Amino acid sequence: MNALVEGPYNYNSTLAFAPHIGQLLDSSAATTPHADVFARRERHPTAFSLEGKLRTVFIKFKNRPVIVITYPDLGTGLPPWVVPVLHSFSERRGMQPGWDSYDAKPTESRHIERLLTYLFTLMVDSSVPPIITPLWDGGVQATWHRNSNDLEVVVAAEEPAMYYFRSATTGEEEEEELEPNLARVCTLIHQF
Amino acid sequence: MSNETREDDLSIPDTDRLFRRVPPNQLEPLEDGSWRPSSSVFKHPEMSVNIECLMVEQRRPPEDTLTGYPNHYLTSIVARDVRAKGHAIVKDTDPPNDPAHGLVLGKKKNSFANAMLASHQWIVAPPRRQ
Repeated sequence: MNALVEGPYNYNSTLAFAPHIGQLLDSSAATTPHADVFARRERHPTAFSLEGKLRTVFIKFKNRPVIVITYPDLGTGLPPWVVPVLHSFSERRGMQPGWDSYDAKPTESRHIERLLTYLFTLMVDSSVPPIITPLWDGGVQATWHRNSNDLEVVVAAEEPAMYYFRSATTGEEEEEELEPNLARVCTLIHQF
Repeated sequence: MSNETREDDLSIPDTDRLFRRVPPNQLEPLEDGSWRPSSSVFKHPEMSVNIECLMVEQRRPPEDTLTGYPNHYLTSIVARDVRAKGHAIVKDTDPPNDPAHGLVLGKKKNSFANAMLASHQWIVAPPRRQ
């Protein structure tokens, strides 16, 4: 899966991305009640086949750069989990070299795009938004935590995406590459 | 010499705590209003720590690890737990490093990072959420 970056918007810490197709986007109504969505534009898909239109939305959080998101819209708008996830990205990404007080690299937009593309594939409208955390190598991870159960989708800089799950009840652990196990991770996300 | 071949420094006791700073953007909220570190804190292949026995020799409290980092928090893991997962611990005190600096070596699996998360103990914890 590849995300499509919109060139003109990918400057000055502005995030632009286009989650890919094959999503399991739910058809129920989606709203963005706490998003400052201040502009929209629509266009027909060009890079790949989609049933819906590609919609671009500009989102601004206070004191943060504009975020540009292009996503395949089936007429229901942004899924509800998107704005909290974007807010988490915006607040928590590593901005400067050494942001962790050691030698961490700044979070790279391309890895945020990779993770968002996976999330659009894995999540439905009713999914609980994960916490986003930067990795030392410029990558990012998404974490769900509930009742001592943990699920991570880890997009490291130089490795295939991984997932990790631990059940507090059974002590069961899973750690595998993400892409061959998308259906399993979808099922796990629904537990949170 | 590559890190993979550097030997575990057994002069560091199994019972020693290893101190690591946690920045605000690697905290995760818990249901009870407290915070935990993200597992991402424990994933660096050369994970920097301050070693307890060196800090004791230097008559420094663990909190001294936070000197110069007023917005960070401090957690600890135990050398025994690190070694149980197959990772070597070495001293790395040459200037300009902190004289108590050490490294936990080797590529970290997510299961390692989560095991450290499960056993970590805050030294300087973030304030609870209201």
